[in-house]
Amino acid sequence: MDTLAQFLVNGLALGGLYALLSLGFAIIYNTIRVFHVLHGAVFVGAGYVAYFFSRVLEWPLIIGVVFGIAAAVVMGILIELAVYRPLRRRSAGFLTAFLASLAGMFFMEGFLVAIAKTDLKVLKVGPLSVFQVGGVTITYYSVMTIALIIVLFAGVTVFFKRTQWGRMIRAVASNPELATAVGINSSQVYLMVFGLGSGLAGVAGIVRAYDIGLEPVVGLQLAIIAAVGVIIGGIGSMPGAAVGGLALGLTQTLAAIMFGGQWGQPVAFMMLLVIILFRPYGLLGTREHRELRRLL
Amino acid sequence: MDYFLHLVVLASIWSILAVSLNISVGYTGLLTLSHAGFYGVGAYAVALLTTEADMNFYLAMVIGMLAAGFVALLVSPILRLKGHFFILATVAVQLMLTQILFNWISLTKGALGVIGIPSPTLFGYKLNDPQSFLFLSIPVALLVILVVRQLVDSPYGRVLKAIRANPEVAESVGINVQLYRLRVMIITAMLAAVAGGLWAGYSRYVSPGSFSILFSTTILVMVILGGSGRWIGSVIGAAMLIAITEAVRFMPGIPADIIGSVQVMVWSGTLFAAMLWRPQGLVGSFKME
Repeated sequence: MDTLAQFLVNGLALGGLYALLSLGFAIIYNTIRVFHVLHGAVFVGAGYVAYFFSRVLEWPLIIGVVFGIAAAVVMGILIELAVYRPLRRRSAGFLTAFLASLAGMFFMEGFLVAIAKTDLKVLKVGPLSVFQVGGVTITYYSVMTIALIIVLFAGVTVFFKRTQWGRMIRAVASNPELATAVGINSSQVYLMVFGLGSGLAGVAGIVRAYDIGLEPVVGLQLAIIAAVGVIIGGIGSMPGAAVGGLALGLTQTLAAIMFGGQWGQPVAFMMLLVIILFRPYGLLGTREHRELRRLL
Repeated sequence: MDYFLHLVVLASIWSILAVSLNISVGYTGLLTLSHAGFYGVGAYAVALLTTEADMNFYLAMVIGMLAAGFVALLVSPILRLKGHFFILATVAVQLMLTQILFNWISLTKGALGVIGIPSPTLFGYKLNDPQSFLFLSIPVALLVILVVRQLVDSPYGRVLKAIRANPEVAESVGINVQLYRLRVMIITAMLAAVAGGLWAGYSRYVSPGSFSILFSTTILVMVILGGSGRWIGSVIGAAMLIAITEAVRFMPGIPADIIGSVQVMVWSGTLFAAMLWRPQGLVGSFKME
């Protein structure tokens, strides 16, 4: 029983991190239909910025966190302006955009290795503080991660359903031409989407940097995980993205308990292949989303 | 001189990789990021069979080809996917293969890699330096190029191009698109394993890091910079990539410990620029979607 509870806490904490990342990826993908591998660059970038301010310059942690998230938002907007917008202007297809994004991700990885080496950068100082419930050891960090995904998911949902900006984004997502025709400035909407999605990636990057730590190669890995979470959950569905991320985290934790830590990720990728074969439109995907998939 | 000959050996092995990946990416329109994984299957087959089982190099290479083909067959259900999701599934395949090389320690020796792979012999001569190895790697590369050229210029190749251009139309005139794609995936993987076997016999040491997604992307860059859909483009692409990454070594003012990462920045920057200004590559015959 204790083992089960312990597994749930650890799995949900890891899943919460993945869910944040998948949610950011889904917001961008659902609106702009670009396979944003550079999401991973934003993720590690935010963590490195936070690390630079709070561990290298030794400013308070909160300043590092704020600067990290701000840097993520700025990076997202710059990527739209410098990468995807020029490509769109040349009416480049999805493969070209994908390769440009992948190239950018490797460029970022090479850059981080060149300036900061490959060692793990961890934000926290000393061990994590913990408390006990029954026989289960819970870190404040995992409570915070789980709380963060709940709050941010609720916030994003309210934003999309209730605010003017949210409605504009959904309008552009469902029909860009019609949205432009009724006077929505789609360029601004795209910037907004990149800012929002990248902000979530930034939060995830800092969460990861705080406990486990970051190294340059993690960026690409987690961009892939974000996309996998979106597919597992169901393309086109935001709750699906969050659920997909959580499912990935739980699977990975379970596999680590059963077969040893190093098998966590391979089993999670195996899960992707199984889901793709038996439920190609994802856990929460609907028939409508299945139709959408066919177009991709 | 040895350094130059080493680059020629490297170019011949990389040409095999790029030309074979081009069948899939350029001719059939299946963009995959798992080529280095299959290259690794071939390399590890030779490494393990020649050291642990004292098997003949050439026999081990054939077994490596069969193993890579078998792995491709195993993962072939991903062919049901389209667009981004197919690419993502190939990434998952690549990451799983890498993780297996790293973590299945009883079989692959994990991160340490396999050392002491014997040099192959050719007509009784031991091929244990770049100069002698050329007598094996260049003929094999030429053979692979010849086979690929015959394949893509045949009616078979025209079917592949039809699939690339429009799978639905190809299907409607009675072509079994999925079967063709499956065959392409297996052939591509088997040719990658040939390159892997050569590499294991040449470097006499293999470790999982050489067969990662980083290298899969590097091979893809060769195909795309050279020009996808033309076999000669891939040979040019492989030579070009060696030239631009080796040039980094001779640039002044770069500390030795970051040369590797600067090389990554150079080729990724080149790919990025190509996507903006010349998506069809140097001699490419078509623009990607």
